Amino acid sequence: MKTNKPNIDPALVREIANLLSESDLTEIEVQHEDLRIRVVRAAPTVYAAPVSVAPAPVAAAAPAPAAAAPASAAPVADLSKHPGLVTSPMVGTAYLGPEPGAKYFVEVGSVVKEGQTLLIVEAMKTMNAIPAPRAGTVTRIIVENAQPVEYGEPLLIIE
Amino acid sequence: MAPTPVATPVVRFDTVGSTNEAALAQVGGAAPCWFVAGRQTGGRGRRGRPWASEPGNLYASLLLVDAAPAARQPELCFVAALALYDAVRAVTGIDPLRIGLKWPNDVMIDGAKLAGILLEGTVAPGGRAATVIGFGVNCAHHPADTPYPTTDLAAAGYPTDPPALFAALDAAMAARLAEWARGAGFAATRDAWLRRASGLGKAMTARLGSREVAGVFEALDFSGAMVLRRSDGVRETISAGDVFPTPAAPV
Repeated sequence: MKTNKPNIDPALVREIANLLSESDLTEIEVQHEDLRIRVVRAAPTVYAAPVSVAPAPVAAAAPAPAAAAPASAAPVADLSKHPGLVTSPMVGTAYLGPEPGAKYFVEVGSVVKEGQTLLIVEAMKTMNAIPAPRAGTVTRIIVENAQPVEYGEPLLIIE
Repeated sequence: MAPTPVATPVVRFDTVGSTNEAALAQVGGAAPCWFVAGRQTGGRGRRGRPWASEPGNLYASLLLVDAAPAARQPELCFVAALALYDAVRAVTGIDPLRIGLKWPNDVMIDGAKLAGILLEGTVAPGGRAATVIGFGVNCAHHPADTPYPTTDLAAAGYPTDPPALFAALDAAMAARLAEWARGAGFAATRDAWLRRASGLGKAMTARLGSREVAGVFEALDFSGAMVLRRSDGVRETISAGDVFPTPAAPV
């Protein structure tokens, strides 16, 4: 296992993001050795999500058209239209449990009441409890514990 | 001693589990409102860390409802830090060279942590955003077993009664909230914070979960996130995590 710090070339990410905005594509994924960069358009903003990163020389070739084919994982763009989607109201770090090592607030299959805390998003040391907008069953948890999240980023789905 | 009068309603406890818990239990009630205790039996800090809560220090949580849109709530962290800074200076008259702010909301005296501020956001009945701002201020005691230096006002040369500091904090919070103007005045809040910042222009390290980012603390961005310029020139913005001065490289 390589444990070195990630080495992402911001110019490369910018170039991919530009390609995305100039095209009609919603998602571009580039893989070079251990470095995989996926750029997804989630209207109206474009953000970069480094999925798995390890030091690698980023002499990446321009993405071939084939790279625009949907990845094996469900594309984030589809989730953004899901009616049961709960999104982050702010930029910060998502925590699935109240403290390290504690049981998570909800799991897939949890039945939740309206207003029940689903997770916490920390921004500037403000711990923001994210409540369930309605009652239902948690069918998918999209974020990982302690993952950075953007404004409007999909967190989980309640159906 | 009679409590010092303050402008905002106050619920007082001799002993309570945690003033933040007490305030969060009342998000449907009147706001703004302070919840103040002489002692906490379950005081806590960020991510569930315990907060030592002996009598003689100040434990006070302010409940605000609909203070600003949800996305602006994190800015209250800077408002709160500035208010506590103002209150400490007003009560002690301490030399401004000895007191400073560490990102995002620590008040430091002689480079040691004086207080903890824990903000918790939730949703009040009716869907309005509620924020609880908890202050734990070391007036007479400070813990010795922390991984970072700590101090208290008495140790710094300014023995201070918690009620006197609380009255100053209430006034300072009102003034800083007015300056912030529900977020419309955040530029003024940020400027005021930067003028009192310690660590600006210095090498700092942010610990983000399993990752660390080291760089020169250059600025606060428009949202208050810390901008670190890494040695490779890349700027990273930090919106959560523990921040400390980068240790000097071993010789």
